[in-house]
Amino acid sequence: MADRVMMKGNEAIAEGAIRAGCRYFFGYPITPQNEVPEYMSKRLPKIGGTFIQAESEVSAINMVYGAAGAGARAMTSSSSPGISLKQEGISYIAGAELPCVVVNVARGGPGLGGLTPSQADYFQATKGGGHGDYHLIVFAPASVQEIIDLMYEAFVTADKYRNPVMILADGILGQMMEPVTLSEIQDLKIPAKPWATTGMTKGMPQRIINSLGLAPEDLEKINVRIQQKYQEISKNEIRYQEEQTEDADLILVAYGTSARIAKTVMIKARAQGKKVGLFRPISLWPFPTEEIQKLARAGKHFMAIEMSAGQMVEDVKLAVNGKTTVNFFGKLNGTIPTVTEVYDAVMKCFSKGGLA
Amino acid sequence: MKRLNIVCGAYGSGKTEFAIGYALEIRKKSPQKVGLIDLDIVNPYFRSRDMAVELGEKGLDVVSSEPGMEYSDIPSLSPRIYSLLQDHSYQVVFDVGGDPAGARALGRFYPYFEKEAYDLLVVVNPFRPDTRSVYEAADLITALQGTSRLQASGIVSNINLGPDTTLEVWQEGFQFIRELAERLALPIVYHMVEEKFFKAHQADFANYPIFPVVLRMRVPWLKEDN
Repeated sequence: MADRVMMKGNEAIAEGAIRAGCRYFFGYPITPQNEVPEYMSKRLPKIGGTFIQAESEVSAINMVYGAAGAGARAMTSSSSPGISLKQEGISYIAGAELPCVVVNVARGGPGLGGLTPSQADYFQATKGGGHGDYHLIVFAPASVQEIIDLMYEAFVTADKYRNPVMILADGILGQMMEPVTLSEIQDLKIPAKPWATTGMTKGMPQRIINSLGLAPEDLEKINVRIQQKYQEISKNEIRYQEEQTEDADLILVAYGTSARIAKTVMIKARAQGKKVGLFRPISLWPFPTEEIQKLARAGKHFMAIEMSAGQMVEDVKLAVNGKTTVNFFGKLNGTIPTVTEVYDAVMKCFSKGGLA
Repeated sequence: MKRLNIVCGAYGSGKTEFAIGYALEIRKKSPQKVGLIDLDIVNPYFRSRDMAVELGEKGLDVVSSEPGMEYSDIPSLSPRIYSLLQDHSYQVVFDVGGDPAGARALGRFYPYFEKEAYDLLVVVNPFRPDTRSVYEAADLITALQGTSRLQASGIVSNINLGPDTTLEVWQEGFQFIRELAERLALPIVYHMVEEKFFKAHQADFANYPIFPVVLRMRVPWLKEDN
């Protein structure tokens, strides 16, 4: 029977992963995501899983590399500075084409930064982060229920493409509590992994997992194949949500926490007769470029709202490509924009002219 | 009512909301000074110290970290806690961090609780994953008592599923709380209920000891009325 509980986002990350068949967690503590390892350390040993608090983030991501190579559903979680430390390992995992899930409950940076929520890791998450031509598939949940649901999607998608998937959240999503429905766990169908290094038996061909391509023509082949995979992902894995965009003059583009603020602002603006809509990218990579393009061609104007100096707004601008205007509202100090601040910025857009 | 009141419970059970409401209620009824001690060293989000200024205006003396240290991720406590424990012109409410891990911070103040009578109220939300069964909730309360070396005086229920709370949900939670209270032989001191929900169902709650609370630890997009 489905159960209803009140959960924190961080607890939902852990519970969602367990429900998706994750039995291996490797991590290192950092605020504001500590409830994830806390939950995993309590639950995994009870269900035959393994929890290891590694000696560092670098160690934790390499443990994920090993477990993923052996075919297990494995994950690590951290917050911004810790995710920076994991970048080398993430690049290796992408290069070795292994499925795993990495969770970033982001906090303010740069450097050690602060403990409060931020969306300033968008570039790092979607544009590489580590070295080499690779992409993470990046999902950005906006509610605790969506965290539960996307954790499952994350593991399935990672396995499907043999590619690491990142869940990009922030401190407030990790810490806030909302009611969630935990459906009964169905029989998981974890796909066969004929490439996994699970030990050799006689007559079995050797399986090698690495991210090495010393000969330039070999490395080129690897990269061409990986790029073809990214094209396929870009076609298949776009996720987004639109609200009241159809008649909108101005569309707010926001993900995660900012999208929650934007929705309240949209309702408030609509009550004042301003036709405001909301476009919420759920997959940040691949980014819903064509969908935004379509709206721009229909003459809609845009305002990106982020808890950063402006990162996703670049992807919005690339999509709009000069057809209409792209405004921006950003918050830099590790705090969440208030509804009033964003509302005022939206109203300014309307009074500037060009908008009905 | 005792001068020393300690509010503890599982992580995310609603302790801070209750502690703030309870301290304000004491302030309303008593001519004495009221101190709210934020002992939460587990988590730097949604803490009573975040509202220190607003609560100060309402007559509460909020004591937590030293000024300037509110955002430090270290288990530092203010020496002012001792002055409130020693100054008997104060009524005191402790807002303790979640779980037995959070209750450990109470340990250093044990000598005061040995000398002076106290009330230890345990907040329980039957819809939190760690206290989803009566057995788990009882186990947690026993562990809280062990870590703090204190005896619980009663249970404060916080039966809620956020915006999805209905009377049916509440009744289901109430059966749970009653069973828990019986098992531990503890009285149910209060049922904390969101004020709006309470006002909408006043007749249904007529026979229960209800403590209406205004939710203060809210996400920003729900903070402003639209």
